[in-house]
Amino acid sequence: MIVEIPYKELASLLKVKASLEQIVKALDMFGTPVDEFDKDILRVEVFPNRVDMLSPEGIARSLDGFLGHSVGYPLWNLMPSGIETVVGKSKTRPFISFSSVQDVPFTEVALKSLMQLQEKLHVSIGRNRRKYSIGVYDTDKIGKQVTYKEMPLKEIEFKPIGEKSEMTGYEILESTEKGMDFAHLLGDTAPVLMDEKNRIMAMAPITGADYCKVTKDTKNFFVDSTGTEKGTDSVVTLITTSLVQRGGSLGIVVPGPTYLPRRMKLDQSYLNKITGLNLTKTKLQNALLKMRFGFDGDILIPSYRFDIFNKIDIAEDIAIAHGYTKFKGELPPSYSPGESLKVRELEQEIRKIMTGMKFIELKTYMLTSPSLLSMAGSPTLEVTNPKSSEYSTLRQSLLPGLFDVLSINTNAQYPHNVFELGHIFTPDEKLKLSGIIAHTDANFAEIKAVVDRLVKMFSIKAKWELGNHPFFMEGRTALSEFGVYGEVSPAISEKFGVPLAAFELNLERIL
Amino acid sequence: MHPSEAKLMRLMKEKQKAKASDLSQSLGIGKDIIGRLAYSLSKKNLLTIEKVKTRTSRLTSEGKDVLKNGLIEKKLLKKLPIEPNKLQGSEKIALNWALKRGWAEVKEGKVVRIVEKTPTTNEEIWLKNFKKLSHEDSKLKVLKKRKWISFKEDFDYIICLTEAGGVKEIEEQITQMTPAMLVNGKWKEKKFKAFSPNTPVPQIYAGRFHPLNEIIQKIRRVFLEMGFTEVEGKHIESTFWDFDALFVPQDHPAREMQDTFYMKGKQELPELAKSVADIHKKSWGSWSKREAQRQVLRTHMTSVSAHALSKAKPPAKIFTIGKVFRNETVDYKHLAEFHQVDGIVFDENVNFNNLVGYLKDFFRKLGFKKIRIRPAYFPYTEMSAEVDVWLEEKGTWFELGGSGIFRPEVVKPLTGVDVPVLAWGLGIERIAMLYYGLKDIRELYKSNINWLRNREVFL
Repeated sequence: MIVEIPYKELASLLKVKASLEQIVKALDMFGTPVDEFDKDILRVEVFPNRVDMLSPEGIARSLDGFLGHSVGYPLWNLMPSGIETVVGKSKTRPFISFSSVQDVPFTEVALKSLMQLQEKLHVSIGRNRRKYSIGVYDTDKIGKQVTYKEMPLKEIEFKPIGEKSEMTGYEILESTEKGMDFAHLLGDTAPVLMDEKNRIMAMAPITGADYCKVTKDTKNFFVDSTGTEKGTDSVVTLITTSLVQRGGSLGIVVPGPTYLPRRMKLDQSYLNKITGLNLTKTKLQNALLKMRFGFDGDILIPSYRFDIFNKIDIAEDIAIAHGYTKFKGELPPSYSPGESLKVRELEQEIRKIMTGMKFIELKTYMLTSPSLLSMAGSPTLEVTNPKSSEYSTLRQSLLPGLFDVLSINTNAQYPHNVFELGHIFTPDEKLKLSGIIAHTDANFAEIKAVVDRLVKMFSIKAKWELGNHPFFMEGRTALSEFGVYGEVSPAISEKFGVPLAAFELNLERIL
Repeated sequence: MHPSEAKLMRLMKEKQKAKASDLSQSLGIGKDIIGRLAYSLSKKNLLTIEKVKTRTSRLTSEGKDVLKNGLIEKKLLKKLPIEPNKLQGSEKIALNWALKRGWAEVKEGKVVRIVEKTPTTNEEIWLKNFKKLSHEDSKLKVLKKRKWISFKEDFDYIICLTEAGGVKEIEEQITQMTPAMLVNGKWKEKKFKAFSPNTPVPQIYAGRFHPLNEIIQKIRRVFLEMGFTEVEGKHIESTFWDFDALFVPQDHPAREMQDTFYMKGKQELPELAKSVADIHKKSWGSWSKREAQRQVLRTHMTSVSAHALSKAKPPAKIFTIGKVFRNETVDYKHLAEFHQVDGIVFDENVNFNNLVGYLKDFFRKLGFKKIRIRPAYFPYTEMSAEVDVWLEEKGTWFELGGSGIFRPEVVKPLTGVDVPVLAWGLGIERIAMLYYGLKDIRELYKSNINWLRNREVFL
């Protein structure tokens, strides 16, 4: 996921002094590579394991440690928030967490970053708000008590952010942009948050009320996350620990994150064994501090790092702190005999015979359009969700793809001798070999000679008999259990203006 | 001397000077070829050649009519007297000529004949003999003006024997050796024409492998040289093997319809599915059997590696190459299906530094002397690394593969043991684009026959 980070904002948030080039290089080697940048904007790719870096504040926090300025567990001022909550039952979004941040020096640019962070979290870990959604409010507008409960849509009435007047729950779902986008997540009721005067602050997971929205002048922030699964504490943490990076203090609300670190034992021998390093305990600790873990005998994992499942995740952070480029690479002294798949070897032998007979190998798509297959007549194997009908059906024969190639190559000098070896689906996977000869004198005898040669090389005795096949010409079609060959039906070759002769063999019968 | 050149020289020794068109008739070779032969002989100062414009005259249908039926003005005289307004078509032109020649005049509103006999005119004599007239003769112009003949512009060569040509001894040189010459020993007396290596010849179209196949075979050789065992799998796979076995949560965005091709039907799950289910429930909260049984077109070859891993005992080194599918909008950078290679090392005693060692060896054998790894993320590896190769001629790093160590959450349910599994993979089409300098990945499947015939070999 790409986030846009204003360079000036990042530079002002960083405690360490670093040039643009140093920052770009550090981000590349931290695992959040810079996709594009100029002096105003860095476009940073943040992978799903480091959603704590979806904001300039989060990136600054990590880089300060990585560049060696502010290492170790982030020091947050923790204060009681003084906000009471009343949490009722919600059937649509049963999980809820709250938290707050106080006395944050806030700006217009910071507001933009907060909006971006909220949106990116909605899309990524929020799974488009289905799993989790987030609300952020100006604490000074809502007072000291917040209520969470489920309400019928018709009873909900407030003025949503960006709207001119009060609207009912139904009106919001039917006529606002966000309402229409996410109406499918609600039934006839919606979870709402109300302030101490019972004003509706937000209707989850759709929108907040205009009166308590965050502006560039907001100092104190109240944050909630509602969800259909547990984990809302972590989501709230991602917002608040990003905000508090600017200054101010975290205010604890119940239910909500406690900001206590998780603990893990430092397993020195495991970490060295799996990384291939040989670091002393002190060096390991220093590496951990650089990645902003704490250490007091145990590893202290900041609560925004919920990508840390077990000690292998610690190992990766050690490796990143050590520097990926410093791994020189070493091969283990083990012996193992390599062994190829027999079928792959035989396939390549067949390709050699075909090229020896002056055929050019083609690779065509396995996914094709139903129209290209309609002539084959048998039922097709379709994907259930194609983006385009051009790639919607698995091929049942290699021949339509080859016809297609020849049809766009009529300007190339003849003869055209082409073949393909590949899988088809009927619906079982089968390995086939097909070839086509196209030139002014292409005929049954010429293609028979090719098939005879192939078959002889594999000591196969095939009994060919005249038969019928939709791609081939009546009276010039040879069939057997090994496949089909003959002159291509003039209904097909008339489009090319030259006669075609072709074959398709079942390689399962041969290999 | 080429046999045709020899023939021409012999004739020129008789004629000294001749037109190519005449030589063409006596030698039975086209005028153009005579020109070419004479030109090549003029380079040896045996002949001179000059290109000249020529004009040939041909009878028109009107000319033929005059030859057959006589002048139109003579025919008109037979119809007189007549009122002028009763004349039609070419008779009006005939009237003008008759008046001009003083054979008729208009009297009291009627055209009347005023001579008894008409002489044979010059024009008639010229027309009968127009072929004998020289091209410059103005008489031809008169005939053309009356539209009895037409001109056709052409060219010819005037060829003259030079002094050197006159004394040159003509000896014939053989172009094609024949079995008869070899058998009867005549070759000993013959002179053979020397051939220029700079003369173009008809092209040969060789049978060739597809470039993607050449790259695939190269990668197979590299893995086999490194002691890996090759495995394969099915293109239609359960989501269990494609995602669940690789610790990809069931609600992961990559599993959504817009990224993955789903097929109708469901697949049976293996016994070890229970262990996989447990780890999902523990880590992600939930797991549904129905979701795991759905069918997809495999999205990566790592699904085949997972299958192989579940059957392997450490130490094992395994690789696989095949087609994978993504529900992408096809454009110059993206295909809905492409080839991937995946390699794993399942060994109690391997580590991240060994992974780097394998990567260096692997990419060096593919022709990339310098590589770099960067931290990355894949749901099923930890540590994870992107592999960049150094492009000397461009002076840049180029991302060519992904790698890592399989997470214990992947390895343990599949194998029952917590043993490191090094893994890396890359897309074959990316190598092909790099090697052939393609700007559009679709070129590889457009199958331009001229490109496939003429492209350079992949080394």
